[in-house]
Amino acid sequence: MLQIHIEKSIGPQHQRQQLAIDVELAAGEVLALSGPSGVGKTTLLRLIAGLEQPDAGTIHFADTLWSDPANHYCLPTAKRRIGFVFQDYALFPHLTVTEQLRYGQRRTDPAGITYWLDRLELHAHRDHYPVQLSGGQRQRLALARALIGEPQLLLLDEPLSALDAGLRQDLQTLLTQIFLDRRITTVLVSHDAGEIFRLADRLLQLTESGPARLGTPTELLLGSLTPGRCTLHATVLALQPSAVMVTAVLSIGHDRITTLISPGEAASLHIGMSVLVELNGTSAVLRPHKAAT
Amino acid sequence: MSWQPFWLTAQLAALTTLLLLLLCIPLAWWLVWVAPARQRRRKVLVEVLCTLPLVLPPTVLGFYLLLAFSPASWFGHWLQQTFSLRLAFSFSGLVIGSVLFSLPFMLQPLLGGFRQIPAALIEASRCCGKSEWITLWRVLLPLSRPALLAGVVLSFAHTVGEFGVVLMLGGNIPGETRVASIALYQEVEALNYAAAHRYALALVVFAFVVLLGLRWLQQASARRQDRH
Repeated sequence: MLQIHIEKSIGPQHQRQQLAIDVELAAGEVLALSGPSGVGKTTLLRLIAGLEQPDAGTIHFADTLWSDPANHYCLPTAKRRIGFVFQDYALFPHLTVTEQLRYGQRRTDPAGITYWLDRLELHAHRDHYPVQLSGGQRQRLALARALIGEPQLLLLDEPLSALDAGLRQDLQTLLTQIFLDRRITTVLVSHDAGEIFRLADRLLQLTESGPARLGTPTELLLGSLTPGRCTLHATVLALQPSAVMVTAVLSIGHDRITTLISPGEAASLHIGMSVLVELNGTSAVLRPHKAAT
Repeated sequence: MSWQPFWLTAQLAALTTLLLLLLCIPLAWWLVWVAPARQRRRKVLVEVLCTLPLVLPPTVLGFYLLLAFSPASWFGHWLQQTFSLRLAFSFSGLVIGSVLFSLPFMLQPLLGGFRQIPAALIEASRCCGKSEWITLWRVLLPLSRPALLAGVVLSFAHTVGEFGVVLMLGGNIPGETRVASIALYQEVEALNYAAAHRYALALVVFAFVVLLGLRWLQQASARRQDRH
């Protein structure tokens, strides 16, 4: 569906780095991008959007050529049918919430505006300007503006990074629902392991030196997490007792992981229960999620 | 004192301002947002050329335009032969001269206004599927309203006060090229100071009102932006 085979020289003149990406996404797949600052995560989103040009290689979407610098070809951004949520949201300061959504539409559809105002709980603020909105409301507006144009590809640049933990959880839930409903192919920049587990099918880790690593969040993240660094929301799928320990099968976002826990720990759990998983290297500590107990 | 020079001045200033708007909006858009990085040298050259009237003596521009529009030059001859158009010592020639001479007074505020707009807003508009044209009308111009206003007022006022280019290119033909500043000059030359005073006073009052109006409009615009 989305095929990216590109190279791009990035960074300041005295410290040039080579961004080399070879990745293909299936329709409806959610790819997360992570890595330290300056490795090219935002640049990759901008290359996909056509806001920048690669030095070499091609980008295809659904068999349509989007970028081919060797032949001086670049499909204009406006014709790519994408939705882009910028890190600082890039809301138009002179347009109200309703006007921003109308501007984001590719065809006039008042019902569509009402739908997204309701879905993202912005109806009460429909006549407000961005400066009159809170951080969470601005984030939801940016998301609604990106989605109302019925994009075939959604690009999200750390959309939840500026929000507090509670608001981030709510919007992650909302995004999960939207991904399930709409099956929009998505590329998402995120530094938050929990967010990646919850939202992404696959993860592309960009590094300062060496090639990018591509895999599922479990493959790439579980072994590298430091103790106490990450707490994930999971659901217990199965509890299989063995001679000494109990094997717990957990669903985290799109992934499944198995971990060994003590019979004492297992006694407080049951199948279908929501738990918090505190990752500790390659093992995990489980405790019931208060909201679900 | 005849009102005809004032009427002619107002016509010249209004027409010049309108043409400058039509010319400078796309030009500023191209200079700031459209031309790719590899055209940087060309952009610098265009910007310098367009700023030239700001530092050039008006008589220099008037002199070269007079030479170019004269039926004795190949360009003036071609205009006359092809379109039966005579630009030297005519109102049409005066409009062209005024547009060129007042170009930086419209272009510079617009460039300043356009450059203050965050690039992300233009990119967001493109990501919404909007063409460059719609982005210009719906995002760039509304957000550059104070700069646009300043450009309109300054261009209009500068054209009203124009003298050197008008004298060189248009001469002093009543009803055709005799604008207020030329009428004032003629009265002084004829030692008719009472009439000269009236023309001068009218121009001073006009300039004061224009600048006062500009300040008021800018404050109103700033208040509107604060509300957003």
